[in-house]
Amino acid sequence: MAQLKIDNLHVEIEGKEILKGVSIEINSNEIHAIMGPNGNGKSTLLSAVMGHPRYEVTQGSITFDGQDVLEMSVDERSRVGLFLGMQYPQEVSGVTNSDFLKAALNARRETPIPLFSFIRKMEGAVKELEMKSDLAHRYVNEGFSGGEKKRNEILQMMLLEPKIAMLDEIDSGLDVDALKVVANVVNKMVETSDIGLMIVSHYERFFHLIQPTHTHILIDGQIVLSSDASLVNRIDNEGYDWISKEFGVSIKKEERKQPTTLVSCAINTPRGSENA
Amino acid sequence: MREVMIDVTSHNSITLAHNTLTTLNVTVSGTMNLTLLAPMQTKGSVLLNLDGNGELNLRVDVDRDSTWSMLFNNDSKESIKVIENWGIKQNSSVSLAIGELTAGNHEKAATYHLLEEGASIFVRGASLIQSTLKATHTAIHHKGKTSAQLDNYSIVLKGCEYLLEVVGKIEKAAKGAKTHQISRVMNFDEKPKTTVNPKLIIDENEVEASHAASMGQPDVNQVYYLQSRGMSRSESLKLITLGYLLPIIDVIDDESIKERLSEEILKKVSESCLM
Repeated sequence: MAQLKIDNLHVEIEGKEILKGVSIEINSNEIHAIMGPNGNGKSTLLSAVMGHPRYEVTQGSITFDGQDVLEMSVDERSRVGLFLGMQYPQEVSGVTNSDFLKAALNARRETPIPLFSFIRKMEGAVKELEMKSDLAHRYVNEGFSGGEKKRNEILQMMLLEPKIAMLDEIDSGLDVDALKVVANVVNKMVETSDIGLMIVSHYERFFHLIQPTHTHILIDGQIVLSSDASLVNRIDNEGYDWISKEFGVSIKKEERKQPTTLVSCAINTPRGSENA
Repeated sequence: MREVMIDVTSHNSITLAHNTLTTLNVTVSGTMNLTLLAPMQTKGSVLLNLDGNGELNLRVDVDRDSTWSMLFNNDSKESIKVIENWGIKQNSSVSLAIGELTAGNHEKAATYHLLEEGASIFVRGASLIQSTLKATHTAIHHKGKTSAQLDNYSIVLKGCEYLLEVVGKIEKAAKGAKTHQISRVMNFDEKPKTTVNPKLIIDENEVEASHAASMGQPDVNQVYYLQSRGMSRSESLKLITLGYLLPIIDVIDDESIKERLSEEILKKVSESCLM
């Protein structure tokens, strides 16, 4: 049985504190839903656990089966059994999906995986996810639609068989049918292995398909409320404002820079200016 | 296709046989001259493996109506200077793949003279610079309706030095000439010693000319993505490097050259230390 334990985690990016003391435990066979308004730290939490170099852990601890995760490199975290299905999967030009997956599998084996086993494993996963059969020969995520990229993340999860998987908005970009396919695959993994899951999503529809055992609301870098699956329904019906009132937390709205337009430039230019 | 292998250790002039894959193992010692002659209306392939220490003056003459595919693989781990002069005549086409993948101090100056109408040269270079490489490629269009495409893809490892100059020159009266170049460099050093100098010297109207040069470092997000799947940083960088260099071979038509260059790239990248 595996356990990912996050204790009082504080994380900064470029000197700005995003996570302000997050504590959570994910065990095998548990499905934790992480919800909250945009820009409040959900993706930061998952990226920090996986060790993205942009994020600096300033306080707190992360352990996996008692081992200090913060002392591990990114690849070590993967090899001990952590997986992150990313919100924006990277394109890696020139590297085929086949070569990429084979290298990833071989990184955690004593001897290279036999070719036939690999082909069988990969083709089986491609079929289950209803992806195009030429996936193996295409470059990693290059030319993939948003939905294909997300399915490719799940395909990697299937092949790498992690103990604890984190999925960051894996449902975004998926149409209704694709969502069902992905949910079926994830549920099958839950049934057939002891995998524990931490899933970030905004939408109740996804959590109807993959029933969480725990739900956490992350606002302004802290978990302000934890409950069971029923919390998902309440969020879907009422949003997050009631949390602000009941628990006295202020909800940080995601800052988006306004684009500069030609009109705004014209308005800002003083009359009589040589540059007008 | 018939296959012929020749070991070259001193001054030599070799006439290439039609419909033949000629493998030349050239070991340079001191200063050496080598001439390759492709006669009129011939086609074939050449694999030239270079080794040794010194200076090689290479002259390649491709006579009219011929089509040749060549791979020049510099396998020398020592100091070697190669001066190449190519003369390509009417309606002849040369497809040249170049492998510069070892840890030697290398210098190369290649001039491709497109002497008559219809002459063309397509160069695809893959370089893994593990020491110092100074390379100049110059395509000179003496007549109209000639074509040159000079593509160089390079990886420069930490602490290494790379100077690349690529020149497309179209002379007066060479109407309809096309000269294009692509130069891409990935530096592993945060303070790279790399210079890329693309040049176009155009003395005629009604021609085509372009250059595209770019330089950058391995994408930190790509490295993170690969590491997040369990590959070490070194393994991740090797995979990214292979992804950078291997697609070059996709545009090579000759299967034997394609296979050979692919093997060289795979071998040298896996042997190298990319950290």
